[in-house]
Amino acid sequence: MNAFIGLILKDLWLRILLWIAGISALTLIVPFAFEGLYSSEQEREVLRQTLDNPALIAMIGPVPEGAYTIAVMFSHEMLVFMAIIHGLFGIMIANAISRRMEDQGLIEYVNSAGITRGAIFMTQLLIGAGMNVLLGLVIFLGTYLSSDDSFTLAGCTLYAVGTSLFGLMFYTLTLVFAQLLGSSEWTFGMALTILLLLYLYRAITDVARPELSVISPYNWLTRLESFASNEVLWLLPFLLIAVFTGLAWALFSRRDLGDAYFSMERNKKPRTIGSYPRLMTGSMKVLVASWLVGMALIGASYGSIFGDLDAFINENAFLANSMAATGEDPIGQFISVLIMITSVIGVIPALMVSGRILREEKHGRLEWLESAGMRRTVMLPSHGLYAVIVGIAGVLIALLSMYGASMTVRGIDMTAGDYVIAAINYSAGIIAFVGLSVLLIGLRAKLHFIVWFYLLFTFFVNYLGLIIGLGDEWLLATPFHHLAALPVEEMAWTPWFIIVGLGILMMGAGVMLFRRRDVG
Amino acid sequence: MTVLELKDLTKTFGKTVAAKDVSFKLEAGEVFGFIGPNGAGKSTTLRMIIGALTPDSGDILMDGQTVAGNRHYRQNIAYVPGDVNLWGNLTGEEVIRFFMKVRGYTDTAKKDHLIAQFRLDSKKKCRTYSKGNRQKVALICAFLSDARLLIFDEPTSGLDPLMERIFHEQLAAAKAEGRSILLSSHILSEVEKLADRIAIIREGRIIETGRLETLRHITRTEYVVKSGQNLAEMQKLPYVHDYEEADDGTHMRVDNDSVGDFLQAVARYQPHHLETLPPRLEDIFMRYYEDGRVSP
Repeated sequence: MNAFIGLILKDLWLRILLWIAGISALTLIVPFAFEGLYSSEQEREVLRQTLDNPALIAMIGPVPEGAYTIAVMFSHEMLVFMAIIHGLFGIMIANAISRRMEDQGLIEYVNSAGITRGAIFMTQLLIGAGMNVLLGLVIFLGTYLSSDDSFTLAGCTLYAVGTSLFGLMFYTLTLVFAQLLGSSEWTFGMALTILLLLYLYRAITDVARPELSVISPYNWLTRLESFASNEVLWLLPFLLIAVFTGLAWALFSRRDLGDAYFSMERNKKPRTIGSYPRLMTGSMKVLVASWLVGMALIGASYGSIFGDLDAFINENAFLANSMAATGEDPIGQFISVLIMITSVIGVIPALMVSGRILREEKHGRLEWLESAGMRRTVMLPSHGLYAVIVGIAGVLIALLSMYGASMTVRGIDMTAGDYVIAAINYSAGIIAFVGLSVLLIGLRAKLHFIVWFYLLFTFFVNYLGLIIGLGDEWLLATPFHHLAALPVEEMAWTPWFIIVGLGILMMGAGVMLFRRRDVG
Repeated sequence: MTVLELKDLTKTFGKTVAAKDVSFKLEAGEVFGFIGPNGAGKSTTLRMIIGALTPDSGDILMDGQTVAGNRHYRQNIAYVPGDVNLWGNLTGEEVIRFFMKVRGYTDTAKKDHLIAQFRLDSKKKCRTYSKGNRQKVALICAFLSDARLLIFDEPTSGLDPLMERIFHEQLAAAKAEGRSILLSSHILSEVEKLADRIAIIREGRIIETGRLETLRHITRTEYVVKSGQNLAEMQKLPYVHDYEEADDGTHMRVDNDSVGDFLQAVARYQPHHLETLPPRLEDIFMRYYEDGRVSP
């Protein structure tokens, strides 16, 4: 078994290490930034006031009581959001060493070499526990060593243990799905769906019915109140990990290798697929459909808090007065921020669609297709165009669900048409991102990761920029910043045309380059 | 008539020279064997022909016309990659239909016949296929096409002997129709059986091209000698290799360029039986790889 752990770690150590380094860096840079930005209590109090509104509660969770120290502020603004990434880390690695390995026939192979199922399962558990312990240690040490006094021993411990247990819980949950579902794609998709649905559930309930939020594990982290009252008891629900572990083992030990409890295979009449675009759309059906549903959910959950937003502003006379004095429309402000964040999220499925051609290339199918007469100058633009369509459709669906969920709220002066215009506005950003993606694919397959980094950068600058107040010089580097912030601003067509033009230009250049480069 | 001609194709990946001045011609209606061990540059050469890789230098001519800038030349080619990855969510049937549709073939009777011949369970999703089954799908797609040039990259590496025979039959049928076949392989017996001419590639360079019979001149011939005297002294001669005494006589392999010397030497032992075994491709191959000899 030791040899087996060694083998798996040799295969995965770099990925695990990169995840741990990435999550730690993202987490630990924030206390450091806060110390510079919000050194006085007064500044922090002002920030707490700004964060105490339904839109931001939906995003990052309820505002804590008591003194708003740097550590409390850190935990408040980071915990729920980072939990998604901790969960994602667990899901990706768990899937890689369970169902993915089984899909590739590796589990069967090592099993035949005398490594028992018990040892395989134990290895999977040990790696999950080990990587989360390591991540927890780094985060504990990093926060504890930060210079501000508010990072107490108990608080740092609780923050690190909480996030690590959260990651481990999704790790074990993924192991359960790996037994139930017959492919790694389904396992990943299902685990990710649960991770995101619980986040959305928390977002809605945190705003509307805080007492119901407790069903979501994200809320357990909030209730830990690390760095304040340190409620250790809220670690107890994470005992669910033991239940998932037992369940996964019970399911794993009782089934045939390569088999699953739920079969997704249906016996259908064979289809006749007559062109590359149809082959492409067919192979991404599940991906696209689930993203469109996801976008609808995101839009609806944001839309559902608009009512609270309105009530909040009416109650807060000071805010209403100051906003009125400067001629700003507070609800409009919040809505425009939510619309922009939604649009940035809408870029993700678009990039998945355009980047999918690299999978065809990696598996050697691209050259096979080409040898059968399909042209690269058709295949790559097909992905680009479909990516743009999926991206825009996602944003449109999200914004229309936002409209649908907020229709009953009075005081919001927006028609369905306004949301459509907003979607058209931000579609420019999607075209620019897809353009960059196609350009990178045309240059070299290996460079495509850059567009994901750029999206991550854009997301963080726009999201964190909102919370911790980053300067404009950061925002200038993202396409979304240059587009009009609908609905508070008027639609501006000049930047729209420039950004769309740049996107199309990059796409064209990418296709030209792709025609000439080596594939495979 | 020359269907395909490669002229001094060179391809490097970083510092690795995958192919260096590769040249050969493929005539209409012939089976051309392309042999060499893994990593010798076989696949690189084939992938340059189908256009997946652009050669650093050199030229590829199809029917006497350069293929650079001519995107239609692939209509005459059907290619079967060495390791075929199929779309996991499609069935074998769906993949074959897809290729028929995009290449404009409608002969479903031939398709059904080939599926039956290769005993492919085409109703299953490709995700569940073994390597051999994935190869069958690609082979069926290629044999279904009316391309004039068929290119196979180690096509039988996952097939069982029975299916290998079906493949050989289909290949012979394609040849009988006047199609040209470029067959890359490291299975020598297969190439020996099927190919009219061969090229041997080693470390990116073609070290020999020609008809099998001509190549045999540069190899060793195996002799079986029976004599009343003790032949053991013969194994000391520089041109005698693999000396072995067996029940049916003494076997030895002799460099072809020293046959005259060998016959003079063996005459002294008064042999009462002298038999020549025809050289096999293995011998040609091994000689190159053992000696590391590259022809000038």
